[in-house]
Amino acid sequence: MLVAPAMLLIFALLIWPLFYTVYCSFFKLDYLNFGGFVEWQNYTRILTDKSVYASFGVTFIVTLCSTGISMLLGLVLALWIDKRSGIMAFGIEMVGLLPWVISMMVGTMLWRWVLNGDTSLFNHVLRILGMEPIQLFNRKTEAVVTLILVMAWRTIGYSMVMILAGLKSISEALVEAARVDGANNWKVLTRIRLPLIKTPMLISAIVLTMSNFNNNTVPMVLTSGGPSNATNVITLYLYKLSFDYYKFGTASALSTLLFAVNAIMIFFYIRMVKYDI
Amino acid sequence: MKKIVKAVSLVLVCALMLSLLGVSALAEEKKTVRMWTFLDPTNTTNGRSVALQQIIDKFEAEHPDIDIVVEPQDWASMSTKFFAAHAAGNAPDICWIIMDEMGAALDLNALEPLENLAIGKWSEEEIADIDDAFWQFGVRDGKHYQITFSRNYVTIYYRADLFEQNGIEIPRTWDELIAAAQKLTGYDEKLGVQRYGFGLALATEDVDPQLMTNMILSEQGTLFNEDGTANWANETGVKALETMCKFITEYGISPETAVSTTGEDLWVDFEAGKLAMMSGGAIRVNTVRSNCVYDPSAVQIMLWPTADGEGHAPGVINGWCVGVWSKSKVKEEAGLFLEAMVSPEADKLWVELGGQPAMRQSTLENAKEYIEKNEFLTVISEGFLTAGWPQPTDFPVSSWKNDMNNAAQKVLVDKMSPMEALEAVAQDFNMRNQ
Repeated sequence: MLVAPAMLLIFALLIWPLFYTVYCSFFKLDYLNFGGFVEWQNYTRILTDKSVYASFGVTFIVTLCSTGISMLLGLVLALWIDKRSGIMAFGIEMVGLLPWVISMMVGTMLWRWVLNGDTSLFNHVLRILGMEPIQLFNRKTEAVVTLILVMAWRTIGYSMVMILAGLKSISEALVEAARVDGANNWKVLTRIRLPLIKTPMLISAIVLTMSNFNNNTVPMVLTSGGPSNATNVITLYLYKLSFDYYKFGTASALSTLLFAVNAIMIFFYIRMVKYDI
Repeated sequence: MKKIVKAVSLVLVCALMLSLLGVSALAEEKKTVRMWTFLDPTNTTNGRSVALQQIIDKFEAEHPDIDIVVEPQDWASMSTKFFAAHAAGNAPDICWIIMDEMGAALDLNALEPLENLAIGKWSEEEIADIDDAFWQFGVRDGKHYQITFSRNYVTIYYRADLFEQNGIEIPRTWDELIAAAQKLTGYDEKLGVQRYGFGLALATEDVDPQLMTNMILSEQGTLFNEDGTANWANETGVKALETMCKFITEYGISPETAVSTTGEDLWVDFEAGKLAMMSGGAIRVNTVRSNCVYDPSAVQIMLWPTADGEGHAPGVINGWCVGVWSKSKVKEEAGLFLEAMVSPEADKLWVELGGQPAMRQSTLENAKEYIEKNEFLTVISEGFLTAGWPQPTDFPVSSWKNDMNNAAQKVLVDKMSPMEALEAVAQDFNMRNQ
């Protein structure tokens, strides 16, 4: 009985919109105007559209790479900070966490100003170093790499703090015992520390994967999906389908597919958290 | 003690009920009209916002029973949000809808015919005062649904000081435009920046129509077939696309970064002196003047050239169609405020404070001195009259500007042939909009 209000809220804000989206996906819904039941037409349209597969492909690449970089650098920073104390460690934690806590929009705009354009700070520095300017957002590969790096930059602080929390919970007695048994730094890391922080690392990896997979703001502000759709991640495609093309029925079908992908990720997340596989 | 608690509780309950009754009675007396616009009346630096606030103040003083509540919105998503709110049944009483989406607003029956509101009672003389292409825009079954505010004309911005220094005349042909841009491309010693002759914004979000649109319009008068399909994958389209791409690849008068440049980036670059010319909505002249890092009076606009120098290539006319929501509970009051926003006094404010073209013929006389001093308003008026192209409202044309830019990206980035690129985006457009 006591959980009823909370359940009601969850139903109203999460469950109902979800089912309503599935319902809408079976209708022609241009400009939000119900234009009749179209059966599986919206799904067929999505599944036969090559650009949807291209968008999914880019999304997976960007998500996996940015999460990988973020986790790796987060781990390195956490291990480094763990051995230090005082103002230095505190300062690094603060700086590391800043990109995660500031508005995504603001952070991405800053990167756009720094990197984009003939007279950007990045190209200015290249010129000072006697190098030719590079138009990062004009070439497909460079634009994708830039997007990956900016997305990784945003999440390094989060993975660092999560891993650091795991490291802090390791009993020093275990490390001391290993050292008495002759373990060097590498063995302490690979045999003691890493196995014991497996859970926070897994949780961070899953959270960041989902966050990056569903991120719309960073690609939209940084590259708008260009050049020539090279960074048109699936959420951006979905956004354009809804708010540029006003095809809300088709967009609902794509949302439902995206939900299915997210549901699979959530399934693994729950398994990992609950059963610590 | 219990009695005292009971008595106090009773008094509190009575007071609460009385106050609730009072509030509801007051609410019945005073009606609230909600309006969505991209203008924020609290912004004292934007002329149009200042004008709007003055109009609201005057209206509320004259109608103490009506409250005007402005809910400022992001311009890019405001029309879509209005459609969503219309479907959900909680749209604002007055909404500003971008001209591109007026056809959709009409298809959704989202707007009330003005004939049913205060404007319906206007005399023939009063109607004649606002009767122009904008008043006729979006008319269905003889009924009007909107008044166009912030009337815009997408044309060429240029730096008059640079034209003068380099002895350049206003270009009459595309070749002259290219030659002028080539002359103006170079390093600006004074500002310390690399300057390009003509700026292009070829990103696929937040852009105004670019040069190839005007080239196509100049040749074939429209971008669409009668059935609403794309009419640009042809010889004219190829020629226009090729010429535009050559601005970057051959003539070097537009930066390579144009591919990722948005409309907003273009304004910033022009204001920073990095561009000598660009295309953009003429409505922003005053804003550009107040933001630029060089002599503000150097910011001028001109009409589009043509291939043979005869007349002007059509420029896209745009604006914000302001109408009353068809399901509003305060239609009458909303209609009164809409009428007030287009009154002769209000129109003078829009012109003199907001720097926007007059909506009334009579304002041309009332604000004559101001209009004569601000040459750009005369250029806009000439554009409206002689070379304006309104987008069709009989069929959906959403995102055609993005499609045009997408074609340019396919040529410049994917190295597709212009015809292949145009065919690809035409197919996308047709699939979406049919």
